[in-house]
Amino acid sequence: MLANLQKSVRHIARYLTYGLAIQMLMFQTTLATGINEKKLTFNKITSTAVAEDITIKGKVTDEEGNPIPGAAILIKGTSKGTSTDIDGDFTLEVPEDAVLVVSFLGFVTQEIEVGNQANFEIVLIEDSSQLEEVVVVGYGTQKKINLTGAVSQVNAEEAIDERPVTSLGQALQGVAPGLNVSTGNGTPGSGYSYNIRGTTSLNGGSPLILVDGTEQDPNLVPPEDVASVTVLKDAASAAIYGARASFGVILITTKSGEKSEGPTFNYSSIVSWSDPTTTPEKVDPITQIRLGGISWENAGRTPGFYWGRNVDTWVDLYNEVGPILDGGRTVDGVFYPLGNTNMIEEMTETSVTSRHNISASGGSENTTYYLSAGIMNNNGILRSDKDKYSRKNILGKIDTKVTDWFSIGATIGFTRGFQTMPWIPNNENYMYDVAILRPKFWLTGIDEVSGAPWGFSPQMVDLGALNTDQVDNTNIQGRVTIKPFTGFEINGTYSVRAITGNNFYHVNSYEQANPPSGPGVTFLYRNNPNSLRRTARYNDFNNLSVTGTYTKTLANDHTFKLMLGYAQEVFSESSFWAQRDNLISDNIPSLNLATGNQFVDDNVTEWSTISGFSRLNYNYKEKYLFEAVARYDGASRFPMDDRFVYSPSASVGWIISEESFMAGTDRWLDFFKIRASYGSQGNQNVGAYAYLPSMSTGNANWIVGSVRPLFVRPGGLVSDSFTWEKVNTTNFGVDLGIFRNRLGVTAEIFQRETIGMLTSAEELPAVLGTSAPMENAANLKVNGWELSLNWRDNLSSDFSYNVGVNFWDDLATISKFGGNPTGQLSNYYVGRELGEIWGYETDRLFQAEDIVGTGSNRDLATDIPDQSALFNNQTPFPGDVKYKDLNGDGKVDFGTNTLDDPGDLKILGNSRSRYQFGIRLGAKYKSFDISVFMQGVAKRDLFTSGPMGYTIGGQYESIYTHTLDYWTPENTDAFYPRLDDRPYNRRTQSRYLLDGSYLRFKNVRLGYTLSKNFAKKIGLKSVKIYVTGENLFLLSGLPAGIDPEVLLNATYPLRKDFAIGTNITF
Amino acid sequence: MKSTYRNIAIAICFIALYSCEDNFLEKIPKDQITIEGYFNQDSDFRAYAYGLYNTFFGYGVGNVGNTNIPVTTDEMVGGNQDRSSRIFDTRIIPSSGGGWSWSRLRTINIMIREAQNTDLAPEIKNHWEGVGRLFRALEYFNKVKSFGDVPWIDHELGTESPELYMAQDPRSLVMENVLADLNFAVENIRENDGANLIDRYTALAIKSEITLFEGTFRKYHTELGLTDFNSWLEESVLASEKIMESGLFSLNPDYRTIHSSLDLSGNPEIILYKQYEIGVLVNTQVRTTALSNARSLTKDAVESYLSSDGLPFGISPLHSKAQNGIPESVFEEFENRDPRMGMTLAIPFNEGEPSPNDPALIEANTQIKPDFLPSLLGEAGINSATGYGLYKWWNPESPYDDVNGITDAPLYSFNKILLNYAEAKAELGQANDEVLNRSINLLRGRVGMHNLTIAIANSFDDPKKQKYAPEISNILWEIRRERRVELMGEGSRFDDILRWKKASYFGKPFVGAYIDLDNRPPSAYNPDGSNKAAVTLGDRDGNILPSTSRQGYILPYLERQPSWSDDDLKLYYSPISVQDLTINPNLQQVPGW
Repeated sequence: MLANLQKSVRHIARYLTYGLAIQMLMFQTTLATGINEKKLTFNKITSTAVAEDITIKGKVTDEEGNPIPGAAILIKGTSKGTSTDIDGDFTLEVPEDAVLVVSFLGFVTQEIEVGNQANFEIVLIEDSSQLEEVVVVGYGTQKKINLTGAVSQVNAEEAIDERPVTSLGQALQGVAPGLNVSTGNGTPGSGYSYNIRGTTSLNGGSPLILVDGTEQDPNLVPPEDVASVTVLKDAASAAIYGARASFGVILITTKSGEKSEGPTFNYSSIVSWSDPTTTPEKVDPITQIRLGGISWENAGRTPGFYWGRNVDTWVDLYNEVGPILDGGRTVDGVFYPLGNTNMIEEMTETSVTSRHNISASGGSENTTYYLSAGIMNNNGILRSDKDKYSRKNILGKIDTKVTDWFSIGATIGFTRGFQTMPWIPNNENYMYDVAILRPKFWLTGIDEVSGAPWGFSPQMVDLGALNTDQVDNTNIQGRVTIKPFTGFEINGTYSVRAITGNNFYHVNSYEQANPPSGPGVTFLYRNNPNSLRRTARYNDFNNLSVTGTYTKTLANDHTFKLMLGYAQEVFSESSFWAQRDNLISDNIPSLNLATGNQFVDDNVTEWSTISGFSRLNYNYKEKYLFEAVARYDGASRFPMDDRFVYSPSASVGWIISEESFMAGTDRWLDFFKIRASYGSQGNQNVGAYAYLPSMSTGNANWIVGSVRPLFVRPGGLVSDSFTWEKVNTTNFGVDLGIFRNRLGVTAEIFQRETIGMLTSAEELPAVLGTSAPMENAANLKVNGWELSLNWRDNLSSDFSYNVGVNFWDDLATISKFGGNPTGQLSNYYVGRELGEIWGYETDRLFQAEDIVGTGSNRDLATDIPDQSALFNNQTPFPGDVKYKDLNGDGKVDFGTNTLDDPGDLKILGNSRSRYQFGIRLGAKYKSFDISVFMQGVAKRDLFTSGPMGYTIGGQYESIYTHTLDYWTPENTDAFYPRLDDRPYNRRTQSRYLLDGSYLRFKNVRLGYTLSKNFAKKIGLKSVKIYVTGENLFLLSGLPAGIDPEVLLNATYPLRKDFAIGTNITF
Repeated sequence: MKSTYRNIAIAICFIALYSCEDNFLEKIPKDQITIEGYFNQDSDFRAYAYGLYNTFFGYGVGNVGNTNIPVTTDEMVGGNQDRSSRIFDTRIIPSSGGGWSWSRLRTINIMIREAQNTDLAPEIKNHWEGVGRLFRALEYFNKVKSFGDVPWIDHELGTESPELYMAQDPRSLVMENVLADLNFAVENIRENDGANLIDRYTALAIKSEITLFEGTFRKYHTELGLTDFNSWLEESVLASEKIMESGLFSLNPDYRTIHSSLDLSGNPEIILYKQYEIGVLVNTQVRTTALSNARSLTKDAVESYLSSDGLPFGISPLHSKAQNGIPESVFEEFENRDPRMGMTLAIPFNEGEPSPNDPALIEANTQIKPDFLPSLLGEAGINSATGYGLYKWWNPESPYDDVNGITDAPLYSFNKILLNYAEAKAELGQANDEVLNRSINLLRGRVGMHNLTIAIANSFDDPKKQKYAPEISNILWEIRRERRVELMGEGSRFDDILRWKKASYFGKPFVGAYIDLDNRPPSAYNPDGSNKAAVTLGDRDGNILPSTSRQGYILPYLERQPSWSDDDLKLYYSPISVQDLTINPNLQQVPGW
């Protein structure tokens, strides 16, 4: 027993020495990196052998299974404990009811009840909410703990990897508070647009998006290559990029190799199947005809008719003959189409998208490399398979340390995007018209007489010529780092990005028959002439930046870091196109094989900027943080005298948890920092030559010979004082680490003012003869907040889980506007919240007793306010909407449509997305992992006078099943008014305001990782397979057919995807 | 370490060299022009002037039909949409807009300035200054027509110009300046500047029109206190005579050609026309006038056509029923009339299947009848709200769908010059048989109509004249009738009524053809015997008859028959918007508003 004890003590002593050595090592590092000392006291270990205790053994590993040496194992409530050896193993004698506290820097501290277990496999989870994290910031990196600005970082494995997305933007929706990513439609290859913190400027403005320091189109970046995405939200963090960055910066960092690591190969692939997210339900043909007939009569058209056809005859034909998909019957010389078509099914099919990527990375002592190649094929949902997007990409990165003081590196990337679409008259609008608006009786077949396909049918998807657009993006970057002496580092980067674009736009000519005419009187639609337009685009972007950084710590407590830098950018884009009409053959579209008119045009744009900048960081004892940035930008977009702008910013941070008076909160509060920042930036987002009054040209409304000659028109006036818009941002933030850093909280509150937006200044008298010149005359204010919560924990070594919530809001208000002296509601005015919906308040529906008399002698009952302004000077009928007389003047109207006299208009709501959120849930049990990502908008109002908002939108449009509760003399308590396709009942009003809020299950994923041993047996490092789905479920108050992300845009639908993927490392 | 510093030095030099490139931030547009240095030669001015040719509206462009021509007058009613028009007194003072727009004037003033400053030969310089000033005269004429007094601005303004906030100048000053512009144009514009471009005769035609308008306007609008109208009328006579005596123009033998030709080049009657070509510039004139009910003539217009014996309808013994106050059917009233009536209105004799050369048309595209009112005459005829459809523009060879109408539009034509001449002469008290033979009788002779003499004009008392214009002479009444008949449906009636100060004409009852519901063609009925569409009938004065009535006049409008007195100034002008009055407080709202 004694011998055993001695042996144990020896063992313990040995391990302890070893552990302590590591701890000491860490202690030094910690000092250097600035981790607080309390953690170290926490880790101080006293070793005592306790006789009556049990001996437990264990191994501490990270999530990958790598052993963690030097992890501290403490018995809770005591100072007894041990630490792990180099293999991560430990042995400890503990009381039976002991609770172990296992901790290691950068990992979530874990508590484990010993119970009667003797062998432990402890998996520590990397603490990504940990403030130890290093964050990419402008021209460098910084520890998150030392940040004083508003910065969010998204790591690829959390949000981007293993999602069946075709664009990086799709993966970034909802993942960072304040980052708004949206798309207008689901066309293959359609890009996502980015915004930070809401409305930027009345002139637009988007964040600066840099990929490894060079401005790039994020839609061309393959998601597999992305390591992290950092969002710089406030002026303090973005000001280092100056005038290009006045509305924030998105820094996309691609993956790199690691030093001294053997080659790692990774292969990943995803195959997904897609369908439209939501489609409306149309009523059956007979209902459509009956209700259409009522609507025709109610709108004052011939009673008993619909679409110029006799309703009863039509319905009888359906009952007697039944639906005939490709035709109809002719009665009394009138053709009655008898379809029962599902246009959406006719036009679409489940589409397949696949993505494959292979990469190799690694490094020696002095050199690292990363190489990757990928391919993505995204088929659209049209049945003709002419809608496609493919992306091929190659990326190579190498960095090498040539001497102690000199390193060089280079990146070469190439991406080719290739998009195809069938030519469709009026593009997506036409598709929408066919798929969504056409009633079910519409036909899809071939006309018997002419042999031409029916018009306004899915045929155009097949008949349209194949149009293509190819974009080649080449990016070359060279880097050099020079370290002349300790603490001083010079970084130089030169990048060239070249884009060539080739567009092939072929308008082919085909005939379509017009179904209502019917056989015999077929009206053929044929677009004439056919034509081909080819556009070539070349775009070149050069950017050079040099920074020098000097870091110095004085008297151990004062750390300074000073950076000085210089940057310049030159952009040029030129494009030209040539078009020729009357192609000899639509099968061989070529400019060479055409006989008609020829057109050419070109366009050249150039701009450049020069900037100098500096940044000073100072911290005292890693407790009081200070940062100041100054940047001076010059841009070619402004006249000589107003070319330069100065962007200063400053920010401070205070890590309160470091203060001794906070010692009492140690048990639950690990980290507490408050910070504040203010900065001002110029915004160069105006046209490249907006300050020059250039003459415009056009084709005269006059024929000379047989052409319309070109004419030249004078340019408008340009203000002498035309200059930069200023963007001022104030930001306050709090970072918290709670419950042993398992819960991380970040909150921001901000105000961003865009000052001196270029708009028409004070309106000038019309005799000026042109619009008042643009002046820096309007201001906009955005107020908002952001909250992000992250919880990570493991319940046992087999089960870990995490929850992340992002929640944010912003609201933009016009704070100055000169161009609207009369307060027109149709224009901006001071105090206007962007997105305001002005409309009428609905009282109820008119009932029979409200109307006196009939026909043209009818009138409103005496106590009812006059509605004639909204009913085109007519008297409403029972079942029409009764609008409220808000100002009590006895009539409902819009006054002068101004703020002073809005009549009975009022603000009904706001159409912008408010209270946006993203929720991430993840769990891991043994080899399985599951994650759910939800995204949504908590408040949004929507008004539509179009289809789906009413029972009948237009006289020839389909009626949808969700709108059947309409007013009739028998159904007086209806929600919708009587059937009438005229606009009188559809004025913007409170009753038919739609709720645009939603919660969408953006991504659901279930993964399985093969056991390490098994993977090793088959010669692989790790193998993971997973099934996943995008946009699978939607909770929304909107009727079927309206996707809350694209709303009523008549466009290509968004898709939901189901996918299977694998990820193999070897 | 030494080499380190050397390398740094090299790097810094490299950067310095790269960035110190001259004018790194100077980027000049490479595909745009600025005005400095633009006007260098004749063709530069020509290209600039083309931008002003859209002053000449013609038949509009594409399916933007003649929307800026007032449709509804005592001769024609527009569709339902036209009920918001001026004569129904539904106009309000707009909050913004409303035509107080001066961008074209700025463009013109820049052109005049550049022409005056150019170093080019005097002939070129004066020609383009003349063209600019002709456009300025037209621009101001249109503004004066709308607003009466307007500010006179003859140069480009800047944001600091005091003229921005000036009050209106009096009409007299503005129109004196217009006359000066016109006279400069007439004297300096080239006699011929190429096919169908502005030349001296265009300027003369415009002068003839503007001066007649101003002369008669001043004469009848006595509230203006402008008594010098005779000099304006004399200017008009002079301008017309120069055209008449040039020998370059004559009436084309066929009255209909100038309105229904696909190509007006070489037509001797045309001074300036707007050309239309498929795929280049198209209009919807044929569709709008013939195939839609948005242009329908009134009973009053039909009654203004003389009988073929030269006597007014109602007096002529050729129409005994009308003479005795008995309504004639549409079939009867077309007989023995001024031949221009049959060349202007759809003759209702043709029933049954339409044929290409027949004014009996249907909506060939859809076969759907409009649901506003039936196309009454034979149900397969030209569409009309009154029963009187327009045939004047119909040309079976002109595609009449929305996108391919290519009928050329006459802008200034010789027949109008003759009418201007005759009217100005009559207003000056100089009308005689010689004047009539040089003008009115040429027009009448072309269609084979009875000649007009002073004696004939004085030989009868037209009851309509007694009722509507007792204050003018018989010969002036007949010359005005000639103008109405010759230009029927073209839209000039509205301006004529304004300058004659005859707002009361807009109070004439809007009635259409007389029909007998018991005697309608079979195609007017549904298979079950019911009427295809209901028609509201009224009496000749526009009063609605009981719904049981089977005979009566078609009423195209059921409510709000307008009522105007000649002294209602509101009708003659358009209001200035609230916004314009707010921005420039020195502006006065126009009379009547």
